[in-house]
Amino acid sequence: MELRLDTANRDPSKMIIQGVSGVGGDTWDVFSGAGMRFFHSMGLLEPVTKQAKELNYGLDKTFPALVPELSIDGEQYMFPCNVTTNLYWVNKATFRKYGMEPPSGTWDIETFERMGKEFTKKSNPPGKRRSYFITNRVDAYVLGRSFGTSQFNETLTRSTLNARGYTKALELIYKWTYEDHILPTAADMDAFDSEAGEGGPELYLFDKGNYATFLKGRWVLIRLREQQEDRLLRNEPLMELDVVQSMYSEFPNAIIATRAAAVYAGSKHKDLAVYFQAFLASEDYNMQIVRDADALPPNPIYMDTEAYYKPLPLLPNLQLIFKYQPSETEKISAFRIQFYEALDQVDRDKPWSISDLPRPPKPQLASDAQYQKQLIAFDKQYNFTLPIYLNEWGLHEKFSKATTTISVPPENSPFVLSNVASRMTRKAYMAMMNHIITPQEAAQQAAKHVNAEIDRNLAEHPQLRERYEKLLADQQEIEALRKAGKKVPLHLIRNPFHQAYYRDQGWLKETP
Amino acid sequence: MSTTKTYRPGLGRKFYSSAMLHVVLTLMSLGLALPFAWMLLTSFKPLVEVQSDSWIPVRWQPSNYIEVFNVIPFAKFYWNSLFVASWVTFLQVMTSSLAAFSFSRLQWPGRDKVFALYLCTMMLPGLVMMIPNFQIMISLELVDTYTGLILPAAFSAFGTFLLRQFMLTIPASLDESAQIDGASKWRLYWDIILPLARPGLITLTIFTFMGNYNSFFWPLVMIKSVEKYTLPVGLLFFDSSRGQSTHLLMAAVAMSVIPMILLFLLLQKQLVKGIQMGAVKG
Amino acid sequence: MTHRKRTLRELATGLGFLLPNILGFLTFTTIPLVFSMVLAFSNWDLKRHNMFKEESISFLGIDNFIRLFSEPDFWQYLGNTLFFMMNIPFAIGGSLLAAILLSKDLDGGSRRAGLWLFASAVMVASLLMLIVVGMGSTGMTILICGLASMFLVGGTLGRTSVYRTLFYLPHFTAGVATFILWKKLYNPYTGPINQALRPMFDKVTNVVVSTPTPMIQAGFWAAIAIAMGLLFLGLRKMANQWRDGDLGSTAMVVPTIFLLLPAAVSFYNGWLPTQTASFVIGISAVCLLVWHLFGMASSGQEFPCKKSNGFGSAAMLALAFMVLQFILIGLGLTAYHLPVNAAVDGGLQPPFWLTSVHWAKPAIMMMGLWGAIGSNNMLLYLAALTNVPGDLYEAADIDGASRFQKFWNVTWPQLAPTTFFIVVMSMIHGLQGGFEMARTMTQGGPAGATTTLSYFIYTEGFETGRLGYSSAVAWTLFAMVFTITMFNWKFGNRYVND
Repeated sequence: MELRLDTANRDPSKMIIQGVSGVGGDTWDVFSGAGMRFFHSMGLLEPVTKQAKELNYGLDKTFPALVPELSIDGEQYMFPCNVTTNLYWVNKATFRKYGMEPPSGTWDIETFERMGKEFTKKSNPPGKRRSYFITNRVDAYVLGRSFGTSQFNETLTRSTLNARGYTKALELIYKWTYEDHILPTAADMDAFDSEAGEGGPELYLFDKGNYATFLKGRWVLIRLREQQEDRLLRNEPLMELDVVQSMYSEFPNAIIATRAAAVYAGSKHKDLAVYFQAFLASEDYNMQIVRDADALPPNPIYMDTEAYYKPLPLLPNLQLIFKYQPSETEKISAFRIQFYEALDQVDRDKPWSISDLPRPPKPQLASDAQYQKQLIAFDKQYNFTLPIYLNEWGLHEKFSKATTTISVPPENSPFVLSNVASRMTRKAYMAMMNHIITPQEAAQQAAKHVNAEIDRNLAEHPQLRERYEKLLADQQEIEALRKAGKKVPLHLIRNPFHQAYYRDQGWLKETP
Repeated sequence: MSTTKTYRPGLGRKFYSSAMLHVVLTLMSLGLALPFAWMLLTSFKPLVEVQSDSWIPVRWQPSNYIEVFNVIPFAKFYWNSLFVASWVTFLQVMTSSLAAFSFSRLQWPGRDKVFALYLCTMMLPGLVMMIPNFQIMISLELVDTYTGLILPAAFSAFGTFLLRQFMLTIPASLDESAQIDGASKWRLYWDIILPLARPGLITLTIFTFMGNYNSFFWPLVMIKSVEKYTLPVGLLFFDSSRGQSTHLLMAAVAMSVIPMILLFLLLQKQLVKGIQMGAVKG
Repeated sequence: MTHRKRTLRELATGLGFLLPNILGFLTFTTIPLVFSMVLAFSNWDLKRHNMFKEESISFLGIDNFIRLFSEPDFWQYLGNTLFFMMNIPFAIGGSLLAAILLSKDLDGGSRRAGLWLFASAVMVASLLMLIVVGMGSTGMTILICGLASMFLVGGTLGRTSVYRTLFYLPHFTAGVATFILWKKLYNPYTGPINQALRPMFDKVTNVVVSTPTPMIQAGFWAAIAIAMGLLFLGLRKMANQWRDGDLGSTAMVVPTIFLLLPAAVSFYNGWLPTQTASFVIGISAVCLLVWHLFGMASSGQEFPCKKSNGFGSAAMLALAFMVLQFILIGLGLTAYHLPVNAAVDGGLQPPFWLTSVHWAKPAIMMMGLWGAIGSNNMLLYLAALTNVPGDLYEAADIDGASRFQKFWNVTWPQLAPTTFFIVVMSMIHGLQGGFEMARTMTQGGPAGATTTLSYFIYTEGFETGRLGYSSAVAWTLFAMVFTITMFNWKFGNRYVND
């Protein structure tokens, strides 16, 4: 049996059409808990709780905050491929250029606004069209959460986008864009558009210094490293990279998200599909994610390694240097494994050299003299990229810290599909950004439409009704307790954000 | 002979007008081809330069074109696309010409009503037929086969409509004289109408080939195994989780249009020739 | 008896030729078609009804349609779809123009050597220009000049084949690659379009700032006046045609509505900046209409004709006038807001294209036009043009007809069957269009501005799972396409046969 990964095979419409017809792929690449809930609502996903225990990839093997993203009603369906939390990337050199101290670690909204005004004032030539901005975009959800407002109420029965926090967030974004001019106008809520992978124009503008910071996950390092290498080739100074958490009002937070693998309910090879999930929990896979910086590893314990905190360069393209024969493929893969094992063990605090690590094997066709030359070229290439990685030392801690301390998963209501809710919210947001409605109206409109969609779903799916009524009763209880100034027991709260927020505010009665 | 205009040596009026025409055509071509030029230039860039202001690569990287073959089984996809598109084109032109002949040159009761039904099928967006169609493919066991890509595309209302319009312009007197000669309907179709409808057939060939070669959604849904992917689906590999490799994508697209350009260059001459011949005979 | 026999034999022959096509048709089109029609009246939802969840499907009668018609989004998306369809006359015109240019004799008599000389001269000139202006200037200039001279030389060498292929280029890269490309071109900060526009906007800003506001805003009133003038012209032309018996009374209704639409829409939607302007445009439109009707009533139809006569050309003309009026009003509005926008810190901003509610549609339409000029329609026209018998032109030459007259009296009528086919297909595609574009470029945004009905069908069916409902949308769309096509068929066909 051979395992095939087909990255072209992740189009949602394709998955749905093949899935509902019983001919889907064995393992599914699902982009979020929202996607999981959609496929689950169609009955397309196989629960793997039991298998996960047996093969040692249960929910305890990943970030606690991800549990709602990977499971529904206590049943596990997925295991993460790579985990991501969006933070603001900073090029400290950009700030220093204008004599400003770069932000470090966190900034509250006042600091953000002050720095934004200072940066745009100093960087944009007076009277000319503005082309320098403090950042590419502000996530309205995260900002709204920092005021204590979630997309949904505590029991996920109603949209609360019309509450104070989200309205305030929209007002701020509108003001920052059109009054303070510290955000670019074309800012779009869309984090996963077709150019997201490439880093899109944002990455380019960040590199050029037009954006002092930009909001992306750790995975964008793959691109940033290429950008850095390009700078080295052009003899330009490297970007001095750092990350800052999202600006906040009272509750600093970030959204944790994951791409994950699920097992298709109609698969004929479910037993094999779960092995793939088990592979995702393995050390091999986790360390590969750590080294490649393809977001964060599924299991947080692998973030607590030297290889994560103090990354060293990956192997350069061996084929270009050594010109191996096709028959030597196995030899090279064996070397790769050996090399990376040794690389992960290097004591970063002591002086070390690439020549201490396993050496690439001698190509069949090369003479000794040629091989020696090739080895020198290899060392040179490796050392050439070393500064890029040394430059990153110190920022990875911030990612792991943000992910393990302030991250909260997105809220998904069982009564409305998240993609529908976010499409409606986005529509209102863009109408506001185009001056058609005010921020207050946008918040109202988003909540109204999402709630109408909830009502429509309840009418179309009577079986949801019973559960909804029960949760409504819980909601009333919560509100009564809050009014009376009493603490709320944890089991009443279904919204992961409110669980975290109530705990933070000391409103929570932890049930044993 | 004496009335011939005096022939002015040097560059005549005709020259200037044709030179003007050249300039106008060049300017229009420029407008239409610039995005294509952007694509070609981008295909020679390293990824870091894709977003840059300059259209012209700072570091030329022709190795993108080789890289395409290393990253995906590009040659296989190429072959699949050519194979499927050729079959579809052949079958569609054949079935459409037969049907168009029936709709335009034959008289039979209910003909125009059936034709109206044909037209109607074009009016429903294909998207809603996707799932029922897919179910039919499953019951015919055609999912993940080339046949599953070729067969549904081999019958087209558009092609029938197009050829019918072409065949309607052929004078009816031809049918009558053929009838007097005692030719069968098949002979009429094969020997007289088909050759005269050649511009129509060539036009349809171009349309069908291009349309099918570029078709995306149906192959995406129908094909499960990578070795059967067609080009537009296979290009999704460049949009993987590791980010969009725009430079490779553009190199792949640049290579993938070659057969279409060749086919067009070949057929467009035929197109004009065929018409002139038809005009003379008609 | 023999008659029946003959009919039967005819039927058998006819169906015999149809057989290969109709077999495939029944399997792959008719069955899904009927299936989706039934679904349109059901509550089929992928979340509840599939092979993993076998709940029973219930039939709702026309509930899906009632919900659809009461949904404001539906009307917005229908409006978007119709808005995009305003592109059709221009797309057809563009492809016709391209075809005409491409079918011209490019030989320059026997003077090919001269053409060579000319092309080389242009090349040398552009090279010289590069040396004088260039080198220091952007690579873009070099690129454009280089390409232009390349095309020119190619054109003189290979003649029409080269141009034809170049014109058809947009069509080769159809599909997702084109959308990715245009998305990059339209990027407000890094896209080449805005990079080229920015210096121009800076110059305009300087001019605007130094001109008194009323002078610029007079431009707005001028635009409105011209728009009203167009309305007047259109109505008068129709009245004349009606009087001369070229246009039937029934056939006049729809074109008249087209002509009045811009005024009505801008009045109703409150597009115009001041009450006065709305009032002026509303009143003048009503006055013009009344005056026109009154004029017609008083003079009467001198040469009576069939009521449905001449619909095709009148509709085309009215459509073109309508779009022109819309463009004029748009330009006028831009002019009106110009002084305010220019006074903002940093001056005028080039459009934000795909992220701006107002510019997203025009951006998509420009892209569509780019694709439409060198399209299949151009090929069809090219084929039809070479088919026009030469003796018709000779006859016109003898009559001393001007170039335009030759086109209008000889070429255009000869092209009628092709135009008819193209119009029918464009209408069908136009109403069903926009799905791939929205999927890869805009996700239907911003704020639903580029969501067409077909993308709506997609989101309802595959993002929401409500296939019954999305079938209902599709069948509503079907009803519209059907009506329009029948309309085209009835009037257009007659026009073709005239």
